[in-house]
Amino acid sequence: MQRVTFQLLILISLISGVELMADTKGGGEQVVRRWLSTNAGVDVLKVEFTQIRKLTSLKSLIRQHGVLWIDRRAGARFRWQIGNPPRTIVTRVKDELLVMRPRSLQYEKSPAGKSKNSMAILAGGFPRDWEEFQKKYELLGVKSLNGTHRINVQPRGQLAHGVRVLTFVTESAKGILQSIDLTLRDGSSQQIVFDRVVTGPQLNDNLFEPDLTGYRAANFK
Amino acid sequence: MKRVLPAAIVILISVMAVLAIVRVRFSSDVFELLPQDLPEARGLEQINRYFSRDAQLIITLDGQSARAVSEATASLASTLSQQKSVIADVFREVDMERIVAEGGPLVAWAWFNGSPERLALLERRLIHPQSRETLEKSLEEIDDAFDTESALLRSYDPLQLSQFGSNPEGEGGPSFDPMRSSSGKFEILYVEGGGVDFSDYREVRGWLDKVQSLASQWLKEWNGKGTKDMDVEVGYTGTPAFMSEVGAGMERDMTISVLLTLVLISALFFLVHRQVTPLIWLLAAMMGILAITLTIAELALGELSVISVGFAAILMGLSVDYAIVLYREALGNPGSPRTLRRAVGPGIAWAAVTTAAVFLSLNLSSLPGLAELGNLVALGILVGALVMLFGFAPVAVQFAGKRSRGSARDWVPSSMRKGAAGVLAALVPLAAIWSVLMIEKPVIEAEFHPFRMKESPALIAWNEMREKLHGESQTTPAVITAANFGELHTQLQAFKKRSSKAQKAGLIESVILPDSWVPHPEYQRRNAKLLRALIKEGPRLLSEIDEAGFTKEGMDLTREVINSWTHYLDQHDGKQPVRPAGSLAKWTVDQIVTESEDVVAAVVALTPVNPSEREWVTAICDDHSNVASLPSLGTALNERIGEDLWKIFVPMLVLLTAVLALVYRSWRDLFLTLLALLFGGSVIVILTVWTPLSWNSFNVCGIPLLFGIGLDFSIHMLFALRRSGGDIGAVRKRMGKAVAFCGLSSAVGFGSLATASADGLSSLGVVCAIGILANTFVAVMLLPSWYCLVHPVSNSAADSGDQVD
Repeated sequence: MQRVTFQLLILISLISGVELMADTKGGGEQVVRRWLSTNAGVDVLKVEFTQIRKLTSLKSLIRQHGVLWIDRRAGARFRWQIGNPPRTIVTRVKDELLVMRPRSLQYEKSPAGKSKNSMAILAGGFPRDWEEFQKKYELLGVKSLNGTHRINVQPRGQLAHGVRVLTFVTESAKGILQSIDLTLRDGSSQQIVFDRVVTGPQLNDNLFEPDLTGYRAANFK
Repeated sequence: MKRVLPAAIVILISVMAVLAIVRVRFSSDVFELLPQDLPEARGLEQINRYFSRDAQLIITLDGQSARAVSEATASLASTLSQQKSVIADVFREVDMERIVAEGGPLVAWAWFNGSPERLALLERRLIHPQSRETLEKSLEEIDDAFDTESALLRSYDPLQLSQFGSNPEGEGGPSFDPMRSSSGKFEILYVEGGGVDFSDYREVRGWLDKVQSLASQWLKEWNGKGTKDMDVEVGYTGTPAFMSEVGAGMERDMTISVLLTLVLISALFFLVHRQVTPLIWLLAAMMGILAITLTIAELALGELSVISVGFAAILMGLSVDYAIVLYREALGNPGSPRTLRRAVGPGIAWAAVTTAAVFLSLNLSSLPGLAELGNLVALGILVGALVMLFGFAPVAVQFAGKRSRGSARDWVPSSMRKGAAGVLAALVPLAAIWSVLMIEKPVIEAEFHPFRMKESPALIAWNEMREKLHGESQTTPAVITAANFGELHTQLQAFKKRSSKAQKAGLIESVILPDSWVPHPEYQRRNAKLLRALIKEGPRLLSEIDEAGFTKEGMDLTREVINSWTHYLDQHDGKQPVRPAGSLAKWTVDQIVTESEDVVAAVVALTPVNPSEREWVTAICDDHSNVASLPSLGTALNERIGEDLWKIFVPMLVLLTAVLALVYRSWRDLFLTLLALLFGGSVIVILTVWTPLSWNSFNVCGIPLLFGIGLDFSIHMLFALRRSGGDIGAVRKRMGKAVAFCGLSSAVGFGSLATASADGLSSLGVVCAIGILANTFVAVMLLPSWYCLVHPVSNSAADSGDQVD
């Protein structure tokens, strides 16, 4: 009897496992649209997150906490910072990307369109409709796992260089974004887990245009 | 037996001609056809000689999405890499993985070759305990990096060996030449060929066919996979593609122009004379002239260029004239070959000499290619006159007598009435002057490149590549040369000074000099000792990197740099500078610096404010510095050709006028010849103003040719009018038909060049064909009437009207 029960349990877990890893290829667009609909009408967002980087060239993980603000009113504004006090602050206003290093009092400005990295994609904010999504990303497929949908995409254009896959992880029930995973071609990865999301917070204009007094211009290669 | 011998002679001549043609060697190098005293021409030739790789084909891929193109490029690269018998190597865009895996030797060499002061700064960063601080700083930067890619790059270079410090102003490179567009939908592959002689265009063509066949097969499979959004298109460009096109183009040009000319002239002869046997002899004579001229040319020149391949058609079109003059004279005055030669020999001789002189005057042109064409035609004309006078004259005598009087139709129109001819003589030149004054059209096309190939898939692919990879950037390469690397640095510094001045004067926007990447014997000598000390610190440094938390992958670049320093120091003999090792390092630096037997060269990137002007060129160039600039080359060629016209044309006109005065000993006949030339020239001017036909730096050199040929026709017609005492009808029946035939055949010869691959040769053919037709019209329709107007004594013969056959 025990052996039959054990075998049945294995069978059930295998079936669950299959369901957990179900590939919702056919309903991929549906899943994406569901997520995008959660962004619709959200003009201002504040996200507290934990960023975990696993690099093949480092023995240990890099874990940091940070905050992200997105304001889509009057053009997209973006601020991302990690550490408390902040160790790196990145803002985007219109087409200018500003990177600040408060500890060394250095900053770098560059045209946002010229940035060739995956985070620059996020600086443009999350897409709010299917057309915007398709403009930025190529949908590779959607997988279900442990109550989440994993939307696998390739960023379009030069930003795709070096990125094996970018994944938006959403909650299966409501389609809310829970984390963003990035895998690079050499096997390194990054995960940004959304710890707390606040929609419509009060924002200070200075948030996106920090004071550069005392800072000197640099070239962060 | 009587028929066998002539047939055998004809066959033998034809076989010799075919052998001579088949043996012809073509040079696909178009740069040697440009005036070598122009910095732009030297620059283009040097870029081609020192920096373009004969064996390097560029394959372009264009698709709907970045992913499609990226995957397709990887797949094609993999497929081609397996073909070891034809492909030595394949390069894709240098990505991060490759930089990390193969960048060590390049980084190591950059320090070895860089300034000792800079190396000293590195040494200070790496000594104990500063090295630990450097590692901590790297870890901080990794932690603080906004994007993962930056963090990753830093993590592969814990000691920041790839940070060479702030660059002096204007120093740059090698920025890995982008091989992928910003959208990712366009990418290129460099394919290094092997297994053939890449200096022989025929072998290159065979090799290219194989590679294209492999790629086509791959493409069929790739695009056949089903999803349309993964489809890509493939193009081919680079030196092998251009060589193959130019070489094939020249072979085609020569074949088509010769065959077309032969066919059309044969058709014309038969329509006029309705005889086959003399036609066969005529063709044999023309082939014989071609064979003799080609043989002499091969001995003198070795190879024919893309322009001089046109000489054959021109030569045949002109030399057939002498045969026709002989034949027409033999028809009217049957006699012996000697009497025939006595009658028309002087005219043919003068015509051959003046025509040869006109073509030889092209040696005064700034374009060496044009001079070569002129020499070949001049040689062929003189050979042709001799062959026709002594070889074809007996044929003409033999067969002209057998021709029935009724066998040919009267196909030449009557001369125009004197009154109308006189009015036209005044009106047309006036109309030409008015056209030039009233219409604002550039006299000469601004940016015309005579050796650019029409319908060149390689050029289309090249332009697409430049547009998609470089966009609006107007960077122009300059080539700096010297005898050795030490001198090259001196020349680079001198160039830097001149270009700084030019920048301050607003002539140049920016200059990027490759100083750091040119082997520096002095720096290497001074750096050797310090590097030996750093190498000894290697084990300690690697141990510290490990303790700081980096993996083996994180240490690889550092280990490679240290190993490479050891390798370079082993190679260094203190005298000759060491070049970078490793395929990535070699490929990268070879794009900027090259070394041949007696010259070293470096390429500088600069951005002129107005590329088509020449002030910036003269400001920065000297004997050791030249620019590869097509826009300013077009301007320079136009200026040169303008000068040439005055240098060649005016003296030639004066000389010819003097010669004609001696020949005619009659101011009236001299006046008529000059009027005929003026009229023909006016027709061309009117056409170039009111039709799409236009002048350019190449076809404008046809003006002297047109005058020379127009002169020919006038000489023949005037001599004939004199001999007949102004009998227009008699002259029209014989010389008029001969000249008409000559004009049409010459027009055919030049006109066949309209199909030529090179823009310059094609436009020269069109303008000359039209000009010759105009000259023919003048000589046959107008000149006899003008003759009667200025020679009133002859009018009684003219008033009797034309006699009909």
